[in-house]
Amino acid sequence: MDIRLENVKYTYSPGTPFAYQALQGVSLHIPHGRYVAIIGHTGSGKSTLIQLLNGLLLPTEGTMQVGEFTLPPKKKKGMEKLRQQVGLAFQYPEYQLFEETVRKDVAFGLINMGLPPEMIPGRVDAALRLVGLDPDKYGDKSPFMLSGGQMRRVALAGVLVMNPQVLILDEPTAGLDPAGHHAILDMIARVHREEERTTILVTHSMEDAARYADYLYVMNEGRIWMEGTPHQVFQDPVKIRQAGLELPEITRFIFEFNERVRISGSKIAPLPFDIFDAGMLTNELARRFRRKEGSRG
Amino acid sequence: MSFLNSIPIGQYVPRNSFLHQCDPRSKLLFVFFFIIFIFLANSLYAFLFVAAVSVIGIVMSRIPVIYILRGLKPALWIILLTVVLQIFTNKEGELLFSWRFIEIHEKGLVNAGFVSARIILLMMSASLLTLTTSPIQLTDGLESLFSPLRRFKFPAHELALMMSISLRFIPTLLEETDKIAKAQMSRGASFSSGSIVKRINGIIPLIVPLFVQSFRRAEELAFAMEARGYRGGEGRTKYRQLRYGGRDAMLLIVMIVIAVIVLLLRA
Repeated sequence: MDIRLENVKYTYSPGTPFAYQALQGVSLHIPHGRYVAIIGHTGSGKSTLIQLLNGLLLPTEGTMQVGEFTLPPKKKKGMEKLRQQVGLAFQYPEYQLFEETVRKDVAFGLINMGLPPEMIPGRVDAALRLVGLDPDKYGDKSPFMLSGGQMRRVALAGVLVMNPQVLILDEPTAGLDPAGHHAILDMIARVHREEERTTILVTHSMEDAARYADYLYVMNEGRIWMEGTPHQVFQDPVKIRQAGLELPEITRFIFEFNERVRISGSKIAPLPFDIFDAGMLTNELARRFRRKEGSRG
Repeated sequence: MSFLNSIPIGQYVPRNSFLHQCDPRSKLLFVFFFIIFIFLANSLYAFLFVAAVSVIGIVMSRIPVIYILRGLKPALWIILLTVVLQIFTNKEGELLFSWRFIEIHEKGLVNAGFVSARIILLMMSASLLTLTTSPIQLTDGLESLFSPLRRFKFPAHELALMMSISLRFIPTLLEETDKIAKAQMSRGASFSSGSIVKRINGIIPLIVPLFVQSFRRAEELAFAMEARGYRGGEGRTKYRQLRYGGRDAMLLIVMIVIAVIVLLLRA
């Protein structure tokens, strides 16, 4: 399912003293199957952009194409169909839980889709397993009895269960501890690989964007400020800082390392910028120093 | 659907007018008595007079008329209902129109006019109060007005605090509702289509999370207040003290003049 935006603008409360233009002309093309990260500081228009993608907000100007849907639509009907194909998990999705049991809550989306009742339990349990919760152990508990991290998983299962073609996650790990943070993002990466869909991750964290996404969009003041693979985007630290963001720690290390090597006139080859993983960095460094040791002896 | 677009009625509009600068207590009392006069006015001239006073008030507040008209919107249904009831059920006075069982009498029409004008004036003066007085001033004013009743164990401070907390959380709740509604819509919920039963059931996924969050927030707020040593209004001093001034004296004089004129014009 391709996503294409053509100079899309969005204004909140147009025509009132409270009018605020959150998107000032965004054009982008996300081919199906890509893992995209949208980065930007608070108020850069990220949340507005993702709400446009599943039709919760309609562009005030410009047009967009999400799969077979053209927005703004000619008639309001059929938006549910779009929302079934574009799953959106908001920030702190656990606050949307409302049912008596975990299973019932996860099933909510399927019931709204009008899925035959006999198909629902199987898909609910599969979705719970996907997020790493044992359906037999947690399925009949009240979602409000679970821990924060487990509630988050239940809420994500509630979106995944609809089997969307495009999965949008708005800061899915906000407020989780580091272990939960990585568990959730690894789970999302696994689902992305296994089920061949488009994943759009909204995040503040450069580390996560670099590590998980194939392609980045950096947003600033309602516009796409930079785009490209993590490798391309992080080549330009000045522009990143102008957007109020920082380079990933690991990229900053590589920059400084290369700078020192250059100044000292050492023969060590500069490190490539497309390393976003501690293991790979260690390997590269080890290779360089082994060579150096060898040349000395 | 965005709940944020529907800014609640009578939201404070900061300006620098005479009415904005009056003491909230005198404004509260003024509006209280003015509402009584609206009900006392029973002749056409008395009515025109109170209406003129409200119009002068609006002009003096320097608040765009659109805000005041918007404040009338929620009362539209009540006005319509009373008008319809008055016209079709009042059987006094001359018969003006009849068709089968429908009879419209003169008194019905007159009453419909009076009642709806009364409701409009009522809403207008009440919203003029909230449009020119910030919620904090309003609650401070109420607390101060009710504080003599403390002698009879009336919890003036607590009530004022409850009021300011609930006012404070209206925008938060609206934002929250908007967010939860959008989250549930993303899961295929629909709040604006289907039968009435379906729509009422559709509210549950909205209401339950809203309550859960509100309780959580209330608890956090209580903890935060205790952590900062809150122990009610005992011995609490204020940075902004309420003081009556020359404007309030003027308001009092105007009030008395209005009272006399209304009583004279009454039928």
